[in-house]
Amino acid sequence: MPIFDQGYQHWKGKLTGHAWRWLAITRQGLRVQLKGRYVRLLLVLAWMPAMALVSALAIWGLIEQGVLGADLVTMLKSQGVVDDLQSLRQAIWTIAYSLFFKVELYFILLLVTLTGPNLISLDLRYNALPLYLSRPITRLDYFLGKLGVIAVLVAAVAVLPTMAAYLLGVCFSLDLTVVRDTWRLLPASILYGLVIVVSAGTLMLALSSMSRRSLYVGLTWVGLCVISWMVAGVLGLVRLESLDNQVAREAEAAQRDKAQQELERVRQRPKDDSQEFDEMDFTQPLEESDASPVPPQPPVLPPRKRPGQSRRFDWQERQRLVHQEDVKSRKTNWRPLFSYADNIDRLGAALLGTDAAWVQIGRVYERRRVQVESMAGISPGGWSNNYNYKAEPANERCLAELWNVPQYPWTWSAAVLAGLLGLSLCILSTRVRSLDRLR
Amino acid sequence: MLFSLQNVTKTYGAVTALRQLSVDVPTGAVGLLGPNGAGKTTLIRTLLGLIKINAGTGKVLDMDVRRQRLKIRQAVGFAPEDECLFPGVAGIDFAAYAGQLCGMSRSDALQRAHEILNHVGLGEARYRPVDSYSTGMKQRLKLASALVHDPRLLILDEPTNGMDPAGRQEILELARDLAHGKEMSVLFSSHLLPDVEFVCDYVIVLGQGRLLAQGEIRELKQRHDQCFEVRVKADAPAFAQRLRKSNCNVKEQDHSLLVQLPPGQSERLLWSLAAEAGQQIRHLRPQQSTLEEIFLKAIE
Repeated sequence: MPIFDQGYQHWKGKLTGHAWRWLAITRQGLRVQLKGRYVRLLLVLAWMPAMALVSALAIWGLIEQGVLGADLVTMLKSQGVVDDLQSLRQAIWTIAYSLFFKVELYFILLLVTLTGPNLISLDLRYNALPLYLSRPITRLDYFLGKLGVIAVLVAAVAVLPTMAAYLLGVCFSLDLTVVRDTWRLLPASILYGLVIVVSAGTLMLALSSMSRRSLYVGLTWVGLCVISWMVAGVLGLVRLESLDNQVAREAEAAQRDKAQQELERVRQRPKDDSQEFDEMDFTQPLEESDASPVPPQPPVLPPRKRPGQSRRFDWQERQRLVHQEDVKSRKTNWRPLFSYADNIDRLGAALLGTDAAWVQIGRVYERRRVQVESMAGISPGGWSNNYNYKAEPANERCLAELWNVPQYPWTWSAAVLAGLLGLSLCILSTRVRSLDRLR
Repeated sequence: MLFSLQNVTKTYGAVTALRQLSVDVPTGAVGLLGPNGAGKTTLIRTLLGLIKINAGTGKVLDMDVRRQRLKIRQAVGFAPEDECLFPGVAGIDFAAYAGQLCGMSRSDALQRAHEILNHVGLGEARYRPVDSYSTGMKQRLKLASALVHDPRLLILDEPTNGMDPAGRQEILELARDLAHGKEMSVLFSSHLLPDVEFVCDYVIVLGQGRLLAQGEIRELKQRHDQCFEVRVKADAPAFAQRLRKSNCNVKEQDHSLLVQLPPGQSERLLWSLAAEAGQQIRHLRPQQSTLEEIFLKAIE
C-alpha cells in the first residue's frame, strides 16, 4: 500500500448555503460549452457589434467636444438647425444602443442555437437526472443552473458590452452630464438582456427537455425562429398588397367621381353643345375625325372594373399613398407578432425608447429639409421652376418610419412572450419530472 | 436509528409499490433484499425524499422524509444502479462536480475528489473522460461521487453490477470498511446475496411492497438445535424410513438427510438409531440457515 494512502478520511470543511447551489450547474455547463470551437468563435464574432457601439459613442463624444466635424456643427448651429449637440445626445446614444441590440439579437439567437440544445437533452439521454436530484438541490435549482448558462453567455455578448460601452462613452465625452442624460440606457439594457435570457432561455430549455437528441432540438429552435419570421414576413406582404389594392380602389373611385363631375359640368353647357353631346355614344372609343372645328369632347367615363385600370394611376403617387396608409395603420398591425425575434425586438424598442429617439432626430432632419427646400425651391420630385413652391410640411416621424421602428403596442409582444414563457415552464415541469415515477 | 417508516404507502397509478410498510432499521451496514418489483428502489427514493408518499410517516437519520428532504440528501450519498455519467467530463471533474452540487467550494471539492478517487482505486484514469471508462471504473466513480461530501448514510444500489471478481471484492471491502471502520451507515441493495452477507450485519427483505423479514443476519442464520444434516455411508432411504418410525421429520436431499428431531430428543437418538440399523454416520451437524434460505423462505 502506498504511504500516501490514508484510507477513508472524514471531511470537515464548510458548505455553502443552498441559495447558490445552482451556480455549480452553471459553471459546469459553461465549462462544457466553452470547449466547443464554434461557440468560442461565435462569441468573438458577437463582440463585433459591441466594438461598433463603442466606436459610435466615442465618435459622438469627440463630435460633442468639437474634435471631429467642428465645421459641420458650426454650420448647423449657425443655420438654427441644432441649438446644441447636448440636446441630441440622448437620442444618438439611444439609437446607437438600439441598433446594437438589433444586430446583437441575431448573434444571441445563434449562440442559443449552439449552446442550448444539449443543456437538458444530454442529461435525459445519459440518465443524469438522478445525479442532480439525489443531491441537495431542487428542480428549480436545476433549471436555474441550466438557464444560467444561457444567461452568462447573453450577458457576455450583450449586457456587459453595453455597460463597457457606456463607461467608454462617458470617458470619451469628458462630460459628466452625459450620465444625467443617458443613465436610463443602463437599466434598460440590463432589463432587455433579462427579457432575452428569460424568454429565449426558457423556450430553449423547454425544447431541450423534449428530446434526447440535441440535433433535433437545434433544428426545432432554428425552425421556430426562421419559420415564425417568414410567416410574419408573408403576412406583412399580404397586408401591403391589400393596402395597395385599397389605394387603387379609392383612386379609381375618386377618378370616376371626377369624371362624373366633369360630365355634369358639360351637360350644363349651352343647348347646341348638349344636343350634340346627347347624341354621342360614350361606350365606343373616340375616333379621330378630320372634321373641323372639333366639337367639345365629352370626358370618357372609366368602366367600373376595367382590367389594368390601376396601371393608369400614377405609380409613384400610388406608392406614396400606400406608404401613407401603411404608416397610418402600423399601430394596429399585428402581423409582426408571429415572428419570435420581432416580439423581442419590440420589447427592446419599448425599453430603450427607440421611437422617441428617432422622432427627435427626425425633427432636426425635417427642420433642415424644409429650410433647404424653401430656400432653393426644390420639390420632392426634383427641381421646380416654381419659385413660389412651398416645401412639404415637416414630418418628424419620417426617420422612425424609414427605419421601421415598430409602432404596435409593446404589450402585445409582451403578451406573446409571456404566453411562450408559460408554455415553456409547463413543458419543463412535465418533462423534467422528479424521480417520482416507476422507471 | 438509521431510518424508520410507519405505514408508508406509495402508489404509481394502479401499481402499489409500498403497502403500509413499517420498519425500524438500526445504524450500521444494512442489506436490502427483495425480488424484482419488491419496492426496493421506491424505498430508496422514499428515504432520499425524492418521491411523495401517499400515506405514512418516516424519518431518516432523525429527519422527516416529507419536510426535510434537502437536509436528508445532504446527509446521504447515493450511488444509483443506472448509468448516469454524462460524457465529455473527466472522472476527477465529475467527482468534484458532485461535491459542488452538495455545497462544497470548487477547490475543496477538487481536493476531496482526489482523496476519494484514491480511496476507491481510480488511479490515473481519473483524468480520462468518463465515456472511456469500463463498467467497473464507472461503478467506482459513482461510489466516489456518492462519498465525496462525506455522507452519514451511503446508499448503494447494485454497486457490483458488471464488475470483475477482483474489482467486486475491492468494492465490497471498501463498503465493509466504511460501515465497520468509518462510522458510516450503509444501505446495500443487491441481488447478490453473498455480497450482502459480506458487507452487512443487518438485512431487510421486501416483497410486493411489504416487509417480509428483517433482523441481524447472525440471528437469522442461527443454528437449529433440533434440526440436523445427516449423511450415512449406505442405504439412506432405509435409514430415513427408520427415523420416521421414531417420529422424526425427515427430508431427503441429494446426498444427505435433513432430520428434525421430535421434541425432547437430542442427537443421541440419531446415533442409537444408526447403531441399531448398522449404519455409519459420516456427517452430522446442526442445520444453519444460509442467507439464501432466509431470503427464499421470506418471499415464499
